[in-house]
Amino acid sequence: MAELPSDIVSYLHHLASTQRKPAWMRSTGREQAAQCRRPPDSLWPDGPDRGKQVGDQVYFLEGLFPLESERLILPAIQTDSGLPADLHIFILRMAITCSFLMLPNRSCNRD
Amino acid sequence: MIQKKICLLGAFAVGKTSLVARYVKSIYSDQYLTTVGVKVDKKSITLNDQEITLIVWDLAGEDEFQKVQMAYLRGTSGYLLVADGTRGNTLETARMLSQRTSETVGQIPFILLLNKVDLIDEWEIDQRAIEECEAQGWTVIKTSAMTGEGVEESFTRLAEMIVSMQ
Ligand SMILES: Nc1nc2c(ncn2[C@@H]2O[C@H](COP(=O)(O)OP(=O)(O)OP(=O)(O)O)[C@@H](O)[C@H]2O)c(=O)[nH]1
Ligand SMILES: [Mg+2]
Repeated sequence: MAELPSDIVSYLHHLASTQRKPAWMRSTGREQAAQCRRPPDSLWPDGPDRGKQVGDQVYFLEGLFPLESERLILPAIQTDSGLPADLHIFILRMAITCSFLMLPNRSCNRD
Repeated sequence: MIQKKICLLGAFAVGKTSLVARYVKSIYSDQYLTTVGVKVDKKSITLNDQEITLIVWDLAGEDEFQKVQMAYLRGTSGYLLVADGTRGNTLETARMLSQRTSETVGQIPFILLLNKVDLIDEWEIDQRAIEECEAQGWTVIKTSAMTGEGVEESFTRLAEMIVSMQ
């Protein structure tokens, strides 16, 4: 696929960060949470604390690690807290970290 | 603390979400709100003095327009395969899903739940079909999310099967 022009890339970047307010977490190779950002309406209720096992803190991540492929995309995940979100888990080639990103997805928020 | 992920799989409207609501929250509703994507719940139980937290993934049901996405099964330790006793074709869907699941995640413990036993007079799935499943080595439990019959037993049995595999 051809590279996107830079003005389109920056538009998409702006759109994703302002409209969908991604939550993200970075974990070390040992699957411990290292850094995270959690907007108020994201799926995990509190934490996560640095250095703790990811699956113990964000329960819906249980069993997902270690990844078998470079990325895993699980659309439309809902819990009792927060907005439904698309979960993207991917391995960054630069380091032995594994990141995940949640994009809140209002289109599947019903009731 | 032990945590185990389990999934509920089956055709649409067989009662997966209702079974989870009955098990986790002891509630039931007649309303049908189809699941989009997946809803994740958790519940802790004690098995032989050991605490286990079940992470329950309630997947959108399979219908003619949308297939169950196998990616959701990643890391699952077992699953409840749900059919609706009043709709015979939901047992066919369950068989197909079980086949696809074992191709994706290998042989893991599962139980076939025949739901809506409160409507047993209207059932299309008969004793012979049930015996065929059992002859294949499947565990089959009749459940009702409405009355609660068989619900707790199903989750507990699956948890026991998972723990005994270790
Ligand atoms: N009589 C009876 N009705 C039930 C039972 N369990 C579920 N239902 C009804 O069946 C309908 C579908 O139930 P759901 O739990 O939403 O089914 P589901 O399998 O989660 O459906 P999808 O999310 O679309 O795949 C609802 O109207 C429920 O009230 C049961 O045990 N007995
Ligand atoms: Mg449902």
